[in-house]
Amino acid sequence: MAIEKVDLTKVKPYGDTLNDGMMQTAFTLPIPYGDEAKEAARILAKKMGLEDPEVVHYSDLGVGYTFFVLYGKCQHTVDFSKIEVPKVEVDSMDKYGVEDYIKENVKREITVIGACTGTDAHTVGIDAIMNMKGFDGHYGLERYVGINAINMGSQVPNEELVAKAIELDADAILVSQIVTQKDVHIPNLTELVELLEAEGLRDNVVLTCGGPRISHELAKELGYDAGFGTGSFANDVATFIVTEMVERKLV
Amino acid sequence: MELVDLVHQKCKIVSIIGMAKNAGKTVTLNRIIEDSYDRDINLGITSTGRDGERIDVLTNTEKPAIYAFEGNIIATTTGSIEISDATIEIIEITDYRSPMGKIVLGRVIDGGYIEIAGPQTIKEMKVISDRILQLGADLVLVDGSINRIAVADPNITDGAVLATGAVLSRSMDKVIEETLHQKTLLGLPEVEEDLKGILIDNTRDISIIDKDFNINRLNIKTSINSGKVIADNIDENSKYVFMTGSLVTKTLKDITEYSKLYKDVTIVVPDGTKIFVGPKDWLKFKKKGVKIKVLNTINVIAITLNPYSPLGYYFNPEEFKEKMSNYIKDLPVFDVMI
Ligand code: B12
Repeated sequence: MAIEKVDLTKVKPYGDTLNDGMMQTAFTLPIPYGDEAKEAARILAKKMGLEDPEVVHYSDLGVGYTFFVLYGKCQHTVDFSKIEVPKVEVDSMDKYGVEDYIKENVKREITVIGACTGTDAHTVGIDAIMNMKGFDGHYGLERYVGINAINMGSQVPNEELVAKAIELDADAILVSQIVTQKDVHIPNLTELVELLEAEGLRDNVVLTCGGPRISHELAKELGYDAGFGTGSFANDVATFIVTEMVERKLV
Repeated sequence: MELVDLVHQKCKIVSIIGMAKNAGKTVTLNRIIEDSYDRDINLGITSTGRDGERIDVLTNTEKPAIYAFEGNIIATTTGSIEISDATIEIIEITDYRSPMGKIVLGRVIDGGYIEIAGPQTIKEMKVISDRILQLGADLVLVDGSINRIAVADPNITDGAVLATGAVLSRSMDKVIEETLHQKTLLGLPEVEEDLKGILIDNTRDISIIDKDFNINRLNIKTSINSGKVIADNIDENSKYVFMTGSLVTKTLKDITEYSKLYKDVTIVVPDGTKIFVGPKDWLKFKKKGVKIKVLNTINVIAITLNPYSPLGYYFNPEEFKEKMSNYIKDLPVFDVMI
């Protein structure tokens, strides 16, 4: 097989030959199943910028709605070499590094409270960070010496989380938000910041959030100290928390 | 009178807070910046969020950039300075941290587009705003972010402009209801001067105060989940319940459920930003005879409207403005999109 070199300044979808631009897209239209619906989907795909769009599958969803799968050629490219995604600017220590750092610089046990808040019932993300057994070979915070980790689980109301933080005099709060439909995570996350400010607690805690659609830039807007996306591990957030505590003199 | 004149007359540090993202805060900010330039008012500019970035991280829509003029003092992050067009002389790198780098104070040497992303907490915001005034700004604009309003606390900023818009709901009535509610909370009346003095000087605890101003300090760290404890401490002589932090719906509900005397007391909270009760519940509690006052009323200077929603619908601008003005008679209402 000949290996062609990819031009990283002009990246395009790959179908079966490099740069053919082939892609698949799927959507539902609120119109009844039939030839007219199929044509509508094709026109729409064309308007989306797909060249030679083809409806390869469509089915009747009932109630006058139709579901489509289309193939087409994407005409756009991205310059991969120019992409920069702001990330938390710490080289993460491993578990033992964090434990030593706590012993040397914090000199006491720290309390970390985690929860998946609001109506969100996804526990896997926050468990991956907090639970003893951890995730993908990285132990969770519960196993760290020097960290008292409390995982409140999912669907935790913001006020319960704040009450717990006050009760335990928490050093850090970890919030997980997985469901982002209609941007429900946004007002839910800002409500927590506002409650912490109202309780006079905001300056005393390291406040972080995480989830597949959480970025560092979004964290800035939300008023959080950091945001962690997909592929984060316990030691990443632990490193952030302990160094932030020392920098902000919260030890 | 233009918005900038009202703001400049009444405040040194003003917050521009919004009911939601895309309610028009940045447009309002830009309007004040432009008009300040025309009037030779030297501005300080900062933000609780991140403003002036060309693409909104949430909706991927184009956002209005912010143009800063020569002489303006700005507080933003190290990361934002790098991507700004304006030439900025860095005056000071502070110890305050944000996800986008440390907070920096700078003076605009050559006007241009800037990204503004200031301190993360309201206490830090106060220190930074005072510093900007010291550095020679006549007026500091603190742009809020999303629906965060904590900076409107009168201990932090001395006036607020409230931005609202079609983005809140497809129903104009709902937008008006929510805006009116927010305005009511921000503008809640202050307690009498003598009581105010006593509360500020004598208690940092959640307390019950009787008619002779005797203070019963309750041994609780927060009112959250403590409505029953508070209710149990209200007796025939009680006149005020003083909350030091937040007031949430459940606390109010518990107080009204567990005490028959709740109508005889006035609940006092620091200011309207500490109240977390929605419009419907608020009206219910009012009907039940709950009385709430504040230590500090927020000086709301004006309401600004954005009749357009990025979701693709919009209100008739004249109708929106007229209806809003009918409900909010005591404040000027500006449509910032015209
Ligand atoms: C498992 C799952 C469920 C399970 C959850 C079980 C449980 N106990 O968690 C069940 C079946 C209950 C479920 C329900 C629903 N789900 Co679901 N679910 C998933 C699924 C398949 C996997 C999620 C997961 O576990 N990922 C693995 C973890 C490890 O990854 P992670 O969450 O991203 O976490 C990592 C990072 O993000 C980060 N992180 C996360 N949180 C935090 C917090 C901090 C502080 C830090 C530092 C880091 C951090 O670290 C983690 C490790 O690296 C996803 C699809 C997918 N493949 O992603 C859909 C998905 C998340 N679900 C979805 C939806 C819509 C739902 C429902 C609304 C469906 C419905 N209509 O009823 C309900 C919601 C119920 C509710 N009220 O929340 C959508 C969400 C769409 C959106 N963007 O809003 C997804 C994306 C599926 C889809 N494509 O539509 N779901």
